Amino acid sequence: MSTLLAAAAEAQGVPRWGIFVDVEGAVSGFITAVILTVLTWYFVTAARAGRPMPEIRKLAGLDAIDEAIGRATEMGRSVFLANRTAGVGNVHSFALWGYMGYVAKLCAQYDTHFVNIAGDYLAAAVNEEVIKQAYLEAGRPDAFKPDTVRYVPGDQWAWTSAAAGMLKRERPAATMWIGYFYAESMTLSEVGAQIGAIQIAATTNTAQLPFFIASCDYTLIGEEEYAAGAYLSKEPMLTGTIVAEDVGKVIVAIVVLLGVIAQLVSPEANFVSKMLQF
Amino acid sequence: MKRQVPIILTTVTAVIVFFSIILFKPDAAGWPGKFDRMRQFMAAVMMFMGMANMTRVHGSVIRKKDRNWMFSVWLLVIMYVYAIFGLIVGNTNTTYRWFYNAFIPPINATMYAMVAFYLTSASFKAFRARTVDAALMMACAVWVMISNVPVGDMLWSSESWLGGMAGVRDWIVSVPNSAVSRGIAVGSFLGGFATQLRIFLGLERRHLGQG
Repeated sequence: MSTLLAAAAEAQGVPRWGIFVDVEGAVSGFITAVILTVLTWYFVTAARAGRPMPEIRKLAGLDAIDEAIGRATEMGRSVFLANRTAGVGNVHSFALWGYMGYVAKLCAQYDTHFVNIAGDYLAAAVNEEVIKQAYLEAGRPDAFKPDTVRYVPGDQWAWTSAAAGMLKRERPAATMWIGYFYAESMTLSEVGAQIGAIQIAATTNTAQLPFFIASCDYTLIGEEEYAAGAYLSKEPMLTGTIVAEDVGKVIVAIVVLLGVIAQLVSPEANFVSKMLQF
Repeated sequence: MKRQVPIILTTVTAVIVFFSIILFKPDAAGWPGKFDRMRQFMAAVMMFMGMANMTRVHGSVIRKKDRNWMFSVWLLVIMYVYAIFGLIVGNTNTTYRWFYNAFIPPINATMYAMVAFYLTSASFKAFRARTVDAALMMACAVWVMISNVPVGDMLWSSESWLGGMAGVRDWIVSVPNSAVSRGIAVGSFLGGFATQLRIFLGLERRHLGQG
């Protein structure tokens, strides 16, 4: 998105088709967005009309959330859920709030101490609202404590030091690292492993996935991170968006296959490549 | 009404920004810039609210003499002294910048260096070949590691068949590794797009304090 924004800002010359910015992939990107929107609209409408939706496949990492909270409850220890980078305009934050609402609600029901470490001051305010709402839904608004949401400035290593320190001191039984992480992923997940916490991570950053996979008990890879809201709520309309996403994946696979064939047949006249660049 | 207004605002803003930046001529009517300035203004207001909140939370810790209360005193002193000092002398002042440069980068570098030790302990766990998959991953990792140090070139020179250890390493990194990374990236893009659509359509409402 930011690349496109930068490219669009620098775009010069004659607009494509008279209305599109002169940026590579502007028209094809628009068509892709329209196709995905129509697909999502179709499946959401189908779900609203009561038509059966396919079930989302089992995601061990999401199923393990209940187990992790149960363990924390038995041990009388807390549950930590954290993200450093995500601000309120970041799609990772919206994914995070899906987890947060579910985990906070369960923690409220089981009277387990829940802690969120936020790295963005705007997100921290929203986190507080999401958690308060979850406590309210669980019928335990009084269980919300002022130290549930802990805002630590999002400077990479300052935040990591603070989070690692909290882990060492408070020894939570479960930790959840949700969203986009950088090099701090290694420190956080290893400290979590040292204190013996059940660890669940979800990220789309392929560079950090190996670290989470090495140190965490469960790792949600790529788009699995975003599926949590739909998976945990089991709401058919949200499931519809996941189905649309999967259909989109099939279309992408077909386009990739066509591109490979076109490249093998005639690299200069690869119509798929030209179409995507338009 | 309380529920609908934020959803309508989100959708309208998203549609305007999407069309005016990504598709039509840049800076059409200047709306993206206007939205960004609104966001910056709100962020500046929130900064003060954040300071007030920190004062409230840590003030309570100090009053109750909770565990590690002295750290709360330290935090509040640093926060206010540095903020007031910056407001008086400006953020280009040499002394103001010296305080930051003399403390923060070295501390950050120290923390970053510690990642090496955590990597070692994580590698120890990751490199236990319990299954065929894990063994394959371990073999690839060991290969890439050895080929990145001079001993790799000594074992199998890059000037020989297949480009030596480095040649095979480059193939591992640029072919199977890239293929998997791109597969994940495509899935992540679609997942992110689906999430954004859920927000635009008002299906994802957690951020509005609704279940």
